[in-house]
Amino acid sequence: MVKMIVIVATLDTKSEEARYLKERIEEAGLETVVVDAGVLGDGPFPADIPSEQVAQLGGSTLPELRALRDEGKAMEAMAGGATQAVQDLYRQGRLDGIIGLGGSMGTSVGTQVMRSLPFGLPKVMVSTMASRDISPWIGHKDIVMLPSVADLSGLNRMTKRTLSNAAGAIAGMVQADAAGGDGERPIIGIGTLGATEACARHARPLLESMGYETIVFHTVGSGGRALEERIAEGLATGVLEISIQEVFGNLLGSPYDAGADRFENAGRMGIPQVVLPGNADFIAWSPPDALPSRYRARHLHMHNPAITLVRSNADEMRIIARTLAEKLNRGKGPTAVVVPTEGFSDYSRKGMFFYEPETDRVFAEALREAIDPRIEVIEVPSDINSPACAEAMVEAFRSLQA
Amino acid sequence: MTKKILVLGTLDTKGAEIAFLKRSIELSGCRATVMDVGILGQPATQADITREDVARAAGQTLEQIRALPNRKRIIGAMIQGAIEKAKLLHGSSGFDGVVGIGGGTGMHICTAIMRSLPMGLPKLMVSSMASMDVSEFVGAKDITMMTSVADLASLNTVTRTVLAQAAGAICGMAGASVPSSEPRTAIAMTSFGITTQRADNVGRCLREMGHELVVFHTVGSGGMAMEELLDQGLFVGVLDLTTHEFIDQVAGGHYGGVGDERLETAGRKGIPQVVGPGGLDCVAIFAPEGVPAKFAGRRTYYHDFRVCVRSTAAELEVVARILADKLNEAAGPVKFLVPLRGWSSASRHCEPLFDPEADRAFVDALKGSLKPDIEIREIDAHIDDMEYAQAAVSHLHQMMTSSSR
Repeated sequence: MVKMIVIVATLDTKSEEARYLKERIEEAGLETVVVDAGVLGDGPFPADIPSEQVAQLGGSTLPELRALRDEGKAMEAMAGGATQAVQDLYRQGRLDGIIGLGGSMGTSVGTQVMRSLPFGLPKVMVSTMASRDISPWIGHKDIVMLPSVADLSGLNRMTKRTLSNAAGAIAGMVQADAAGGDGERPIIGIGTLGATEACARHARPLLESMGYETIVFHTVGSGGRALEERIAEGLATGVLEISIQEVFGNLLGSPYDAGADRFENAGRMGIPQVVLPGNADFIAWSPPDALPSRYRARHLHMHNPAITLVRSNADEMRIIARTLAEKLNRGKGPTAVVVPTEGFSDYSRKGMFFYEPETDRVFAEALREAIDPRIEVIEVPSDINSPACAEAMVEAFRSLQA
Repeated sequence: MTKKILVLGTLDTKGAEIAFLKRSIELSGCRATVMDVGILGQPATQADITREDVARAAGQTLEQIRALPNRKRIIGAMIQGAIEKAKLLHGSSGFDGVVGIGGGTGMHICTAIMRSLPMGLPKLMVSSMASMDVSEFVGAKDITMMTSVADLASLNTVTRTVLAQAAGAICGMAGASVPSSEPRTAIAMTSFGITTQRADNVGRCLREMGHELVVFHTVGSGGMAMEELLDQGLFVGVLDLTTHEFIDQVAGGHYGGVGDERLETAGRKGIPQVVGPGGLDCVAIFAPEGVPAKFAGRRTYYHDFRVCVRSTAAELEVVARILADKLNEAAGPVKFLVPLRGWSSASRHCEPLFDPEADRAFVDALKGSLKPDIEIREIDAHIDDMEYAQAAVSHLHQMMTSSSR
């Protein structure tokens, strides 16, 4: 069957560009449905789902929206209407991929529509806003951001190249063999950062020999959120949380924030989970010049030009331990915490720049004071990346299932 | 003809994932060349361009690079070698697209290589870090970012889907054609905010003269992308009417400090340019929690999630001197066109940001600092008016025709 691509655009200002994109996609052998989210007027070529219909689906009419004289509010209604229209197509099974183009408003509308669609359905946003912070646009969804280096304002050698590339990308994505998992083995979600990745690496073959498929999430905020969402969807039958850095993100406002409900969905779903204090030995911050002044005099490590690590102190250990305990206490599923006593990441092993075992000890003390006695706290006399720690973690997980 | 894709990644930590990506690319009908940019561990699969090759291109052996005193220099050396190899390959047998996979460090290495390759060549970065602020990685280039959602640390339902789609995307991009049209000479223009109408007007005027217009949005990377393409010789003239970045730089707005080269390349290359004060009347700030205290008492205009704050005469005088210093160095012809009825859609006469006295202070400071052979023209119009657009086009045209004689 011919694949169907939805194009979301504002035809009042981007009509020529949208038409060019549509032609390129159709040339690649696909069908298109154009959804017009513009409010200022009809473009020179007709949309399949015209702006008036989109406005109505958004609970309004075009004249009403124009009368608002508030572009932000009008766009909100159009984004709601466009989402509705696209959801209808999706439910009818008439949607294999989605592509949008635009500046800040177009990107805002396009990605809002895309965020309503499930993981794995190809999504491409061609945007003049794709070369800065893209997190507001993509959230934790799999939206591909293709930067339009020149403005999407008129067709010229650069915009044509950009739009042709974009058409190729979405066409290629929908025609790619949907790999899918093997769909048979139960899935274990694992959260980790680079500094504790060896722990995940040691654990994976052990879990696989127990008949599980493992999926690893990078706990840099978006990864933790994605993991929580997959857990809430029921994808995972168990969780190994090796990195708790995102708790700092939420408590202290550092960049790796995965939201207030991080480390809570597994408990809510009642699935077994083992948690380790990985990466609690530092707080990851942005470039040196963006580091809040209260951290300037602390023990710092420049990880790379974009990331500065602050060695966490005893107070911060206490806070993260208590917060984690409160989160885990609320859960209803079997839970255990494994605490390696010789370092919470690659950086606080013996001989490394953040080696401070007395600070790390505060974590276990504070945790034991605050945690529900039904949750076992297991200390392992090794660093988090040693095979012994991974084995203890997997063993704890195995016993939770009994 | 079979399209060729260059695949970048570290084969010690991402061996299985790269092998899967390569297989998927080949399933899509393209040929994959794998370059291993890993350093520390043992490669898990065979590369077409090995890490030893990469090290050699940096003038060292892998052992020498590993022995460098810190991570920064080790990574730097591998990047240098990989850029060398990629450029060499691009110049010889060539390739039609490049795709990289990695975590934070992998993304750092792969995007540095991609930034060294020409604009228009499809570039795709797949990373678990491709979901945040990507400005460091994308720069002013056309690097498409695909978030891997799950970590690329094993093959599973999620990562197989992502990698298969990445293969589809890069092969699709590499195979995309741009239907050819009649060759025209290209003119670059900077714009800001909702000025589509003006861009259309300018585009029409230029088309009649046989040129095509390429517009850059000066919100961050756009201005610097234009500078880079000017340097590559893509444009024969520039309408740099929106120099907004400089007021943000001086007053602490969001889009300041984009790069030292801004407003210098056309001058250095001797390309005729018409410059304007577009957007200098407002400081753009992202202010979800309200306007910062330092701007208290100023007039404001709510655009969307961004707020425009009126710039002051003192700030504009500083900007005027910065612009003058840059333009005074130009080897080619320059004209400065000042519209007298407002410099952005936030300051059309009835809108809140119009302040003719502060605007005047800018013009006076500019007159005091620009060298005498750079003409300043005042136009009794708003910057978005047709009249201003026509004046800009005709001045540029005049400079281009007289300088080519």
